[in-house]
Amino acid sequence: MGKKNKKLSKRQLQQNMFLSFIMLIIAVIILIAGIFLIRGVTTPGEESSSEEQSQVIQIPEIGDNSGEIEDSAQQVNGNPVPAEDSREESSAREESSQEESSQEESSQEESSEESSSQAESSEESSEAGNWQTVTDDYFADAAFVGNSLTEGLFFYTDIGDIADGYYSTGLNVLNAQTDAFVDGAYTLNDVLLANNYSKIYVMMGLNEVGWPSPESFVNEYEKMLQQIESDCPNAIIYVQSILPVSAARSAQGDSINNANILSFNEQIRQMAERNDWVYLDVWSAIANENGELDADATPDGIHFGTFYMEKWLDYLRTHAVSE
Amino acid sequence: MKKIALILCSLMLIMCSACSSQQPAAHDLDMTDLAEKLKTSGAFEQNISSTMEPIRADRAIDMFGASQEDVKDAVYYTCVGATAAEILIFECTDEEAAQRVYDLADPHLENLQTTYESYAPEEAKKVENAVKELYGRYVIVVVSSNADTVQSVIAEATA
Repeated sequence: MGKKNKKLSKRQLQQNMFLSFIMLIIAVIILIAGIFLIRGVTTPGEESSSEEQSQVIQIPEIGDNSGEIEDSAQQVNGNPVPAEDSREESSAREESSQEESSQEESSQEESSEESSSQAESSEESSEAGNWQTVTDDYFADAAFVGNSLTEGLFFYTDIGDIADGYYSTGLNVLNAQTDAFVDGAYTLNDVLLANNYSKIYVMMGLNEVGWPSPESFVNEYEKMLQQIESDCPNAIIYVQSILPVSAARSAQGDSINNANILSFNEQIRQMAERNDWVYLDVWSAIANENGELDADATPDGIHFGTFYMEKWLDYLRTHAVSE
Repeated sequence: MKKIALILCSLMLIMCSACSSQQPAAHDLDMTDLAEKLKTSGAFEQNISSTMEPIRADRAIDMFGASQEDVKDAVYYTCVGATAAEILIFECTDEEAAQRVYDLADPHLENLQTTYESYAPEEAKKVENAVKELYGRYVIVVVSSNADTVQSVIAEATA
């Protein structure tokens, strides 16, 4: 009896020890699982975000800003590096881009298809003279220069697959002549000298309509374009009009209004005429029947998206001159 | 009894080690769906959210300065020139590539800020409160006027 009791208590002791061990293991597992649950999804951004919010950011000069923006633009649009090899690579790229572009063209909207289907040399009459309707191949040796509106043209349409774009938000006719806004390292002069463009499309002016007079703007614009002409003496210089703003933006009370824009455009047209540059009234492609940018097309009364960018590009397709 | 105890202990240890090595796996994101949710979340002014448009993925990758090899796909919504507001979502090839792309967020945001400081200062303020997240193979960068709303939409999508 006593022996039996002794044996029983030993087994109970073993069982108790085993159960205690199991409980300990389970507690450790729960503890570890709890730690992982609390840590949750790893989001290193949270820490960095708070750091970033308190970060003091240096404000560089306007030119540097332009360069930084243009830096990314150039990665999209082409090869601005002034080198002979880069020109050959650029040509090859453009050729392949043209093929791709032609294929993509077939699926574009009806107006684009109509433009593409016509031969490059086909001519159509217009009030301004004998314009040619061209395929996108026409832009393969073209460069576009401008401010944030030109940036939009390259972001919202496929023109960046074909042509090169040199643009920057806030670009004006002064800093465009001096600042290294291309890849943060090259001036407009550098890249134009390094690339044998046959057409240069320029649109400036919206950032300058607040200047004291259209004349002071046109003087600088003329100097800028004469330098472009000097860099690319065989290129056709297309000078595009400033585009309209919305009625609300126009009525805001500052210098950015449609009356001012029309005044500047007239000065631009006269400047183009006396220098034998081609003036393109792109304003007419974007303005509605009231001479304004449609209000629902724009978040700020000035910039717009794909639909109007395509209208702009279609205007360029149907308003080319002989090479 | 000892054998049973040993087997049980071994099993426990195996389970334990399996638990400790298991990271919370990031699930796949529907990037377009997330971008649309962000766009309509109220984090952007109505005039901006109504005109934000998608930009081609290759343009987004180049604009951000990322390598095309690191990124499988990208969704980029913005109003070019009008605002600093943007929605950028990158699906990267793996987590290492995602880290590389994530590291480009700061220089991108600094560029954006300096651009708008002189051009539209009120837009530059939005960049100060930009949200950037690294979630598995995904990198999310959002410049908006309401960072809290953006973070809650992202948290819901990544939960």
